[in-house]
Amino acid sequence: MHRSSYQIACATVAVLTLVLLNLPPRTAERVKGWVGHSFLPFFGIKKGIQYIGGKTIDSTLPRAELIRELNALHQTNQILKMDLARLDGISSENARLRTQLQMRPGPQGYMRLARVVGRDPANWWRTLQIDLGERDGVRINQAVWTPEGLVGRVQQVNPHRALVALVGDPACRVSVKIRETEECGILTAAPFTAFDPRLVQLIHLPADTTATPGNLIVTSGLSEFFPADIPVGKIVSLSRSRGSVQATARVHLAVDSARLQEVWVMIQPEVAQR
Amino acid sequence: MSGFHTGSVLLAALIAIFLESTFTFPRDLLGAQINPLPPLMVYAALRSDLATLTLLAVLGSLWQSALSADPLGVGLLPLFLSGLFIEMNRQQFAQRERFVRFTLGAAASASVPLMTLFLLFTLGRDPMLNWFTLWQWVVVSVGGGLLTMFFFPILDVLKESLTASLRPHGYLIDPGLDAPD
Repeated sequence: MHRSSYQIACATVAVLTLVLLNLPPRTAERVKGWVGHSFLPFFGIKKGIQYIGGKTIDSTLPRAELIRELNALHQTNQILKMDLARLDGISSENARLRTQLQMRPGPQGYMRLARVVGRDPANWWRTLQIDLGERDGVRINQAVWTPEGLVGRVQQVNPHRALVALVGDPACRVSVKIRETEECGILTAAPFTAFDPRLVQLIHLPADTTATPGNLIVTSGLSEFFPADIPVGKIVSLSRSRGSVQATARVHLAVDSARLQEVWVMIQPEVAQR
Repeated sequence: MSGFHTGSVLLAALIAIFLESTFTFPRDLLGAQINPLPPLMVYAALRSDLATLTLLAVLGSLWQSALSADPLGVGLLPLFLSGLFIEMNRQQFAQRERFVRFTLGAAASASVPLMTLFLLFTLGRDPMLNWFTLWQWVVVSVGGGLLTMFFFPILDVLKESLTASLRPHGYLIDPGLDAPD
């Protein structure tokens, strides 16, 4: 191999590295989107396999089982409709009171189901890819959750996919409160040795907190991205340093991100109206 | 070096990165996902030319960062440096020995995340690091070594099948052509 070949290769890599790492964030995201198109056939194949698998399972289910599930869903639907009618009244009353008190309105939007299509290849981030993107109305910082609790926030958006930073990732700090004591804190990545990825840290609690292990953690509603009272997890342990004005707690997350198949994304109202 | 061979190495990288992102069995079982690019760089460094090595580092890092929260192309320099080091010293390695392949794969898989983390900190990013990261590093290194041993026979077979047509095939010549009447 000629010496000049090595020089050309090294120079090319050095220049490319400098250019790529100094791209403006928005341009870098776009380039990521273009490069990510290389995986579209593979995502398509995976979706096709999942679809065929689902159809096969559906076709083997006995009719009696389906009718039983349908009846159960009808009942659940009726109960939810009654609950919704009651909550509509409370919601309008809440909005009226917020207006009178000149409070900032909470985040609003409608929910859209997204399928989890991949997870971060790097071990130092906790993110996942969903199959909804900018064209579906997904925007950066929108909340992502499941019926079990908060999952995270949208970190990057491509036309067809979005990257969600999970709770516990350094890019997803969440303002939360302890439901029993109404004390607020910030949920961050765990700095301690966490063999269980569902363990995260709650910081900025008052030193004289009355919280105890087992207390429920929910979103505080102070953030403009996360609606209030979404379950996040439960306190596992509390630690107070002598002389410190703050306490910290270990929190066990409600959602097991390793088993997530589908999540709900809160789409912005202006996008939803289109 | 055949363009088909370069293409097959790049295709293997694309598929491996997709599988790394979508099949999380190692992460669920051992707590760490194994990066397939350093083992592929070892293969490219020992079996391919510098152009293939460079292309694999460039495209591999771009593909990987497209599915990750990593800054775009942050893995390019670490991958290239690990591959280049092996390529420049490849005459000194007994390439047929499985243990050598394992060691090179493990060494590359151990050094690439270290260099990447160094770059991330230089860029002011805040990756998740704690004592568990050490365990992940060990898993990634050993897993990378094993993956290197897995890649070699597969890509060698692919290379042989793609370059077979370039060999002289004397036995294919019809003996009847030169036979006297």
